Amino acid sequence: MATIRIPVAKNSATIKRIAVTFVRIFTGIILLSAGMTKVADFSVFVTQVALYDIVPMPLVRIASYCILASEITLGSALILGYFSRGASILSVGLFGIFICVLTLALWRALPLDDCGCENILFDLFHWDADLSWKEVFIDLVLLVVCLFVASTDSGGYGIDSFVRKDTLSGGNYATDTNH
Amino acid sequence: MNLHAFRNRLTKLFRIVKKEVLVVSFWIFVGTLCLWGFDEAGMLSRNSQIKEVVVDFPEVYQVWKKDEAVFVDGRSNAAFKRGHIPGAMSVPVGKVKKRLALLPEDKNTRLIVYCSSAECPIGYLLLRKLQRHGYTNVQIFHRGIEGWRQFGYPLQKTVQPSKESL
Repeated sequence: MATIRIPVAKNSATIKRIAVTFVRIFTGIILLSAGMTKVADFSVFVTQVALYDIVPMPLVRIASYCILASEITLGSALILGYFSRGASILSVGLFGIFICVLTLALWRALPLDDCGCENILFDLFHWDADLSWKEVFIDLVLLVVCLFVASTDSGGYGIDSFVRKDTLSGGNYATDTNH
Repeated sequence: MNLHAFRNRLTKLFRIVKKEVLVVSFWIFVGTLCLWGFDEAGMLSRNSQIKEVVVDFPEVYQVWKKDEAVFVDGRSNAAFKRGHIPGAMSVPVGKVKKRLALLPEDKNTRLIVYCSSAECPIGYLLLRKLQRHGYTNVQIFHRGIEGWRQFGYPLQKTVQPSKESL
């Protein structure tokens, strides 16, 4: 009887890279859509940052610039797959900050009926952007996803695969099989 | 893998990650500076740029005198009690859903929102929230309570109940 040899090892590595690529791009789209929503209505976003009552009033606008720039830059880097590991790690930090701020607002029972965290997920699933534990859970899931992407060496398929050469194995991202 | 090889791998990983994090952080810093520049150039939205919904003196006083609009105060309860435009309703920007019942049922009613001063961003947020709840005729009195007071128009203070009456 002929033996069929299935290259399982190669397939699983490819499947993992495709999965990493998918979650990386999806997270990037969420971040970028959140940033673009805020750019379109920047005045509203500044007010929402002020209403959380965490940053002193003179620094509210600067904090708004930083959050917005972070979302757009990290979202773009994750979508393109360029410096995706660094972008994933910084995204973990960003989502960590969001979780802390939302948790603090909920603990203080701030009278906010809008968390200021609208993105493409809210449009897809018709969710309300209320200040609730749901938003904390969503950010926690995204944080774990970014940790997963950061834990891979190449971040799936992206610009890193073709351009970057500094992997742990010392080879090219495209040929590196240490995932 | 022995300890030495593991330590080397970890050091290399740290070096790679540090480089990537620094590069991305640099681009975030550049993005922050760009946003600041756009804001200073007036390319990001501000209350004063929303010309089609801004209402100013003398129109706002005439509208108030003829009772042609409902004035909506977006400030906190405490600020409202210290003094507000006579006849205005208190709808703090964080409690719009809870105070919707106070507003007119007719969504075409002219509403004029205000907060404390010209650069207060709360007025614009309140306008957007009221529009999302179906109100089609919402405007901002962007000078706010400070502008109303400066022009010498009357203010109404909410009367606090005395301790004897409680």
